[in-house]
Amino acid sequence: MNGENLLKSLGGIDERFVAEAMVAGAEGKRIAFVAETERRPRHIGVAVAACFAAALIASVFFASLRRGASEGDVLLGSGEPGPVESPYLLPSRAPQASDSPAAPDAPEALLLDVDAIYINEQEGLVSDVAPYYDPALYRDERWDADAVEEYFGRSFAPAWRPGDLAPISDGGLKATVNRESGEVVWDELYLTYRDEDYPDFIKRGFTVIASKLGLGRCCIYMTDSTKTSDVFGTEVVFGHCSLSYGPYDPETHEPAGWYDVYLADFELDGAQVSVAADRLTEEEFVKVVASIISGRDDIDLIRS
Amino acid sequence: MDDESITKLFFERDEAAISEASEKYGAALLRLARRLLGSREDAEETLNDTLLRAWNAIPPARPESLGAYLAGICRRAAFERLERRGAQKRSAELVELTAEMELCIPDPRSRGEADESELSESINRFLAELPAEQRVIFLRRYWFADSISEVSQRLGIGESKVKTTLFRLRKRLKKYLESEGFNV
Repeated sequence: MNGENLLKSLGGIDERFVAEAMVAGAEGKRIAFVAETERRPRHIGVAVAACFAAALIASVFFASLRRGASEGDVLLGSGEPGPVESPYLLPSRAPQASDSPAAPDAPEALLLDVDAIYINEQEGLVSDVAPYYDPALYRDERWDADAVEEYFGRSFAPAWRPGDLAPISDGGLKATVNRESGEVVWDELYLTYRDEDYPDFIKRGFTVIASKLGLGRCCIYMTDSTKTSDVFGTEVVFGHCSLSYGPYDPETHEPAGWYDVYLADFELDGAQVSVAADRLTEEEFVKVVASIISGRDDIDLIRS
Repeated sequence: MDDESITKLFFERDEAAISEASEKYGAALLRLARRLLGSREDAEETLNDTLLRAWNAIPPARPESLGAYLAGICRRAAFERLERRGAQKRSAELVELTAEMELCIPDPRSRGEADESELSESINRFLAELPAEQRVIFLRRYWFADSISEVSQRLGIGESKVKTTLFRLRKRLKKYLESEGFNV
């Protein structure tokens, strides 16, 4: 048996299947695929000012200083549902047993075509200055991981991460609240994963930042030509830049080398989410982002 | 004209059945044949052949879906023409589809012959268990020889989803055929 035999033997299949495929999507009989066509409007945010700082390390470093992030373990695995399903609305002439899914032996891994992911190349990172809140008017509240999950309605911890990276935050955040009204005015959540033994000041790792109020700082400079990618039904802007690291040659100012910074920006369940990674490969980064979105750790990357 | 009326013309041995069938399904059949054969001339001959065979078969045959019935004849006629041509002159589309189908074969090293009707029955069972959306994607690609982009546009879904679904279905079909004993 060869491929052509198999292709030819398809000619003997039930005529009802052929009829079903013949009318599916034909003019005037467009199939409704739910969810995939619904795209939430992207919040691109204000014209981004600012400059560029050392990717995530710096942003997390300063954020930690300002917000007083603590160390510890983070909750992993969001328990969120898997990828968006697209119920297919069949014409009434469906063959029998048509809607019963083929029962696989074990749950199948999610597949993501990395060739369909567009990485926007950029010169550097964008960051913004964190706002100042007068302590006379605002107070800080420490939310633990449970409170954070309740506030966001989900976890943003990646269900998958490279094995050498460990969490360095506890999954909580310090929110800023208006003393009088109780209104939350600052809700940025930072989840950082790093290889602390990495032999350089710029460690290998990534940070997930999530906010329902809109992120003030990180990381991709959006333009009209910025392209988005579809990750399990969520529109994601991926970015990449190369940053230099020292020591720098005292005469030529040439850096000791360059490292990759990958970025992703998307909306998930009403929160704006940014992920920034130092020294991860493109595939590792895409898989981390896909695992945040899907809540699944069994994701196979394929190339078309 | 609706299918029932065209079928009635066939039963009445009215030659208008041929022109009505051609009017309604000719373009789709021509496209299917051209995809498989790669040549417009061969595709046109296959279309004529299809209509003639339908004229000879109806009656007694009374197709449930005239379009699917004619497409089935057209596909068979195209493959017969391919066989007459020999191994040479395969269209680029067919070579691509064949390569993808090879990935579903349990043991590609073996060159033994599988019984075609048994294979068709087995694929029928496999398709019957699939959700309709996946089945349509599979058929549009491997039965109608649509390109990935055509399937995507037709069904209003992303190309990435089409490719992913096909990738998964090929793996699943291979496993299924293995379990059905098609290890040739």
